[in-house]
Amino acid sequence: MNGVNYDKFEKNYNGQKWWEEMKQRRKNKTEEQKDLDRKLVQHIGEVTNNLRMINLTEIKKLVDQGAQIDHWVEFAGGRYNAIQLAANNGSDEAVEAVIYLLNTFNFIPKELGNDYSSPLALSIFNGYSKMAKEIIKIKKSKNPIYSFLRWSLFSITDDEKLNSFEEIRRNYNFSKILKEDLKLIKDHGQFDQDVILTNLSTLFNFCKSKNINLEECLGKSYNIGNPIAWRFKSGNTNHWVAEEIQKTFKVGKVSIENCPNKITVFFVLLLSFLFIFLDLRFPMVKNVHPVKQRPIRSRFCQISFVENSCWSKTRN
Amino acid sequence: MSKIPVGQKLEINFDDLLGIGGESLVTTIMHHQVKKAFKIIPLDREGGKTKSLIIEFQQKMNLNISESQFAKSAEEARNSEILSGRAEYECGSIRHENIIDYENVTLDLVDGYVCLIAGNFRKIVR
Repeated sequence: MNGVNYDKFEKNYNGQKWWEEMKQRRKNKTEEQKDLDRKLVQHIGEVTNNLRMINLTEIKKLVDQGAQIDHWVEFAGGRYNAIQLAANNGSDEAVEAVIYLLNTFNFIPKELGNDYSSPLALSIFNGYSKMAKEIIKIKKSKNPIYSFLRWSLFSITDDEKLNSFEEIRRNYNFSKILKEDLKLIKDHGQFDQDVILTNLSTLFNFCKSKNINLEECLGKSYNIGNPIAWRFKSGNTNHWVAEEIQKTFKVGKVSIENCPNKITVFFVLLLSFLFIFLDLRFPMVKNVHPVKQRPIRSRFCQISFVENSCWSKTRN
Repeated sequence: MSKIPVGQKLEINFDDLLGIGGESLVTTIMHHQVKKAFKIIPLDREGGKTKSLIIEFQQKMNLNISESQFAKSAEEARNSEILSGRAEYECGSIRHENIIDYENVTLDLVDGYVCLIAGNFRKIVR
């Protein structure tokens, strides 16, 4: 890698694990190791004939001998390593080689915006849906949604895009990746690009079809107003109201009333006794069906609610 | 001053409480007709600036997003940048049988406090 390319890579990938590790390896490489790295690239495909047959057995042999992905060659105006060259080859053998090499070496570059350098971006750009799907399955992409939004042009059909989004949903935390990859588009200032807008439309329809709540992913409030999540301040510390009440009452419904001078917590004492009685009377119920059968106490929750209301009214 | 008006009652169902530990609380809440588990983590160190940011982007996101608005809404969303670096959010991408798979992690206001909400939306079987 010459100085210009090195500086470009250093600027783009500085701090990324694969790049830092490779820099360390390259410092101490022997001529023999350099030769193995070169042979790995040659077996994947020569620069002028990248669609040659890939022999996975030979590649595995070279890797076993110590070959690594540290040799870069000029291709399509950029510098490519063995994995990237394999991702440019659409054969079934190339899919196997990419997956094998990605599983063997740490090479998950971040998406750069206008440079399709990650194996997933390369496979999407070339229209290799099968390869893209396999890369997603082994989770060797940092920004899979971004890769599809940015590099899925005319070579991949809408159905293939939907299948790929489904594969991402299965293998990644979709809401997190969605947030991050949309932010990446924002950071690269690409929200006005036609390809992004077209693919966003496919993504939108995918999310709707899978009941993925886009609004909540993007920050809509859950409107949690349940008093179980209330807190009160004591000194400088906030405490959960529920935690305080739980010191006395562990289960069932508790009603709280603001009386003129104090807050009173009512609990169905009568039912508590009833539960204790039932637990003692039918102790084996829990053991007969330990998984499906809930304890008697829980199964009488509904009664607890009715009784609670009545009891409160009686008190008033 | 009490949050409950004088003479009014409210009810807490402790069967909904799944746990209180550390500073967070886990409870089931009905959400879109489905009972879901929510982990609520108060972020008491967050200042008014974060609260204002949350209010600001929630005002934009609280309406249903249409296909034509999606790009604009996605561009305006700022939750990713303020979630970044928070453990529950960062670890959200780890998928393992022994790790809770949060379906969404977001910042929200609960009881007026800035909280991190981690939702596990698989149906709760009780």
